[in-house]
Amino acid sequence: MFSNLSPARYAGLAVGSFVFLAALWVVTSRNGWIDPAFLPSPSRIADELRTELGDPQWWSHVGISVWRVTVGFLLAAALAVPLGILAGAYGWMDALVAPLCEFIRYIPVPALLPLIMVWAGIGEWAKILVIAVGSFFQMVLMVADDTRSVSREWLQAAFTLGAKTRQAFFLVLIPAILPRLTNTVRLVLGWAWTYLVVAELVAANSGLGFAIMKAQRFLRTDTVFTGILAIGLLGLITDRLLVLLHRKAFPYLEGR
Amino acid sequence: MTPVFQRPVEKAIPGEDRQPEPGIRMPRISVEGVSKIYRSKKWEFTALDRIDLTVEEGEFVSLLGPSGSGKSTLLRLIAGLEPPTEGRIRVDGRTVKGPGADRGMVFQRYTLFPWLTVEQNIAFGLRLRGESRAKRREVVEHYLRKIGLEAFRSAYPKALSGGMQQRVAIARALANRPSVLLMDEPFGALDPITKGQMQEMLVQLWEQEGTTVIFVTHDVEEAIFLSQRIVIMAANPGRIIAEVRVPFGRSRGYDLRDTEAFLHLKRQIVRRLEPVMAEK
Repeated sequence: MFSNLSPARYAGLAVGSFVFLAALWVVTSRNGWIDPAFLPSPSRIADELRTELGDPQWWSHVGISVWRVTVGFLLAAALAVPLGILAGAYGWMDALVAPLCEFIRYIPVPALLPLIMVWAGIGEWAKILVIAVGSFFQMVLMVADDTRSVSREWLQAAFTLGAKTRQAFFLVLIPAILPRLTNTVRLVLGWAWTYLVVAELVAANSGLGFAIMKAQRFLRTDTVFTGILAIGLLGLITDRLLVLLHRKAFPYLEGR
Repeated sequence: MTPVFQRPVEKAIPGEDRQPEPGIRMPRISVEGVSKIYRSKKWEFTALDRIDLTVEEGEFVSLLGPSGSGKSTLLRLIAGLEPPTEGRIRVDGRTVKGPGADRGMVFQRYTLFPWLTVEQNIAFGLRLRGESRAKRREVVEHYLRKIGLEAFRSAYPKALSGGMQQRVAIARALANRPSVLLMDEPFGALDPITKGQMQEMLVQLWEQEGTTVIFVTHDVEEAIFLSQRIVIMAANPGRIIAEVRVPFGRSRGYDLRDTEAFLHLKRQIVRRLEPVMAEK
């Protein structure tokens, strides 16, 4: 906001922040300031990660977690995106959908967990449902907001060029929303990972959340760390992929 | 140069001063006793008070007035973007009920679709109508040449300057061959040099294409330079207070502004406007 940075400097500082944290960690564990049972040394975690990367069991945890997030999130998006667009475009839809979503989204997902388990059991669907429910209500409201913020003048221009309502909807409104929509999707996907861990910590016998929980019981702090790292990395990778997709899909935003 | 496609009635003969013959030719646009009143529980605002106005085919008319005089509102009513509270507006004899391709509009703010290239923007109206690819190409070529942006055909609007964007917006509206081109202070946000160039380009386009134009502005010089007739409006309530015929011919160059006749007309109009500006 107050100072602009060249991309190179930005990248430099970003990497620096990671390096700083890692260095602090190394120094701490070298000097034995903190009991390794609470904070294992980086090399210990690197070793642990190496063994885990070769362990098919660990990969199946990663796999099942990614699967749950993907299905839960897609389920939410498949319903929330159209509903949000309609709510943003039509007053009556807005009245039907928005206040209700505003109400429900204030209920913390963990509070809904018992109810979901009663309804959906403790099988796969329960976890997927937690993620879907957690993402859905937020997403509807955010997509509705994206839709509302589309310039009226684009639509008016389309109408004076002879567009029918249907044409204005699909040829102007939808393309106009898309860039914001992908950003919204990216944000909500980040939250979906949170709901996943909530679901897996409480009721699961597989997945990264479960692996972390189990390791904690045996005070395997190193395994807890690798689990957390894995979730963080998976989140970061999907996030960056979506940013890249955004850049590739909407070149016109940069004027290229 | 002949336009790529033309409605049969629009046989424009360059240089011909087309005087309407009352009773024989139907005016292109007739605004009949139109009022626009915005109401809420607490207040009422008369944006337009019983407006009568006719515009003939091929005419270039400016609506000139201070802000609040309802000139933009009148344009939006003609475009069909808002309904009048009273009265009716007819275009080619048909009562306006909503926006349509027969009334192209150029807005003050840049309204090109940013996800479409220059070409695609110009072709948008034709695409809506389901014109063939070949036809679209032909029309787009024609207007790209007219606005001098052939080199930017594949560029996205973001890469264009404000003046270039407005040129494309004009081409986009004209590509539809509308009965009338409605322009809402289209050059208001441009720097003076660019504005002058755009005005000259517009005069040329109008001359060559024979389109009827209604142009909203608060710039006296702009109104004189462009139009054949200036409708002067005042605020509170929005109304027409005078009409001025501009005696200059169709081909106008930039130097026209320095002539005695131009300055004389400008003084006349400013004198007419001054008292209603003070009202504000």
